[in-house]
Amino acid sequence: MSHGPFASIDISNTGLGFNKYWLDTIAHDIANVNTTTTPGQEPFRARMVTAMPLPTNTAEGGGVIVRGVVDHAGDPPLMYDPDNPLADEKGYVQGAVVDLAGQMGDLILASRSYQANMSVFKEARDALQVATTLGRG
Amino acid sequence: MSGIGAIGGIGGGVGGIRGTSPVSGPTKPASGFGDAVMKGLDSVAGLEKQADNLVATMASGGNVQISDVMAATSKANLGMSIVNEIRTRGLEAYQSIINVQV
Repeated sequence: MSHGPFASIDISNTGLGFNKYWLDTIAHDIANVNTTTTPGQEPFRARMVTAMPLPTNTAEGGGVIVRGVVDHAGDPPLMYDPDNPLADEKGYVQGAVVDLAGQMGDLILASRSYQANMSVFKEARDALQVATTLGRG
Repeated sequence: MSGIGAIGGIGGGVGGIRGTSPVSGPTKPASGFGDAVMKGLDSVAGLEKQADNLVATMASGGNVQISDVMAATSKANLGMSIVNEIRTRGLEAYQSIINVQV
């Protein structure tokens, strides 16, 4: 990505993109908080987004990009629910590996982080807009 | 071309402005003010084309990030403002020279 006078707009745009991706995965994790599976099968695992700086040859940097998505480790909770069609012969189903409180915390972080990048975007746009009026006599 | 160079291009003769015949002889300046403005307009046209494509894709339900659309439209808008301001500055300089008392 080449940066000209709009470097800060491009860079904060990558931050907006990353944090939107993060918000999307949090939405997916929270939506699946009640997803049950038969014990022995792979349970639903919350997804954790990892970031890395966007590779660039410019000195100011290129912003951020999603490095990858990692599934949460840990054992799924077992719940006794013999009426559930997914229950095993003992009547148990396994729940999702989602830490709902942690997801809510991440949700606040992701949304605040999105807003922070939005502030940079607005500030960069306003600064450039003001800079165009510098030559007026 | 730097902004100062762009203004200095006027000194090289108004013949640099595209579409007008050279006033001071047939030799055209390497890159006059008009060329600089045209170059700027060309790059702004590129930015606007990008913005247009993104807006069209988003409007037709395509998978486009809103922040990308806003970045592209902001860049096109800012680029147009910058080129327009440079045009105004250049025109002011031209007017000053035209109004020199002899």
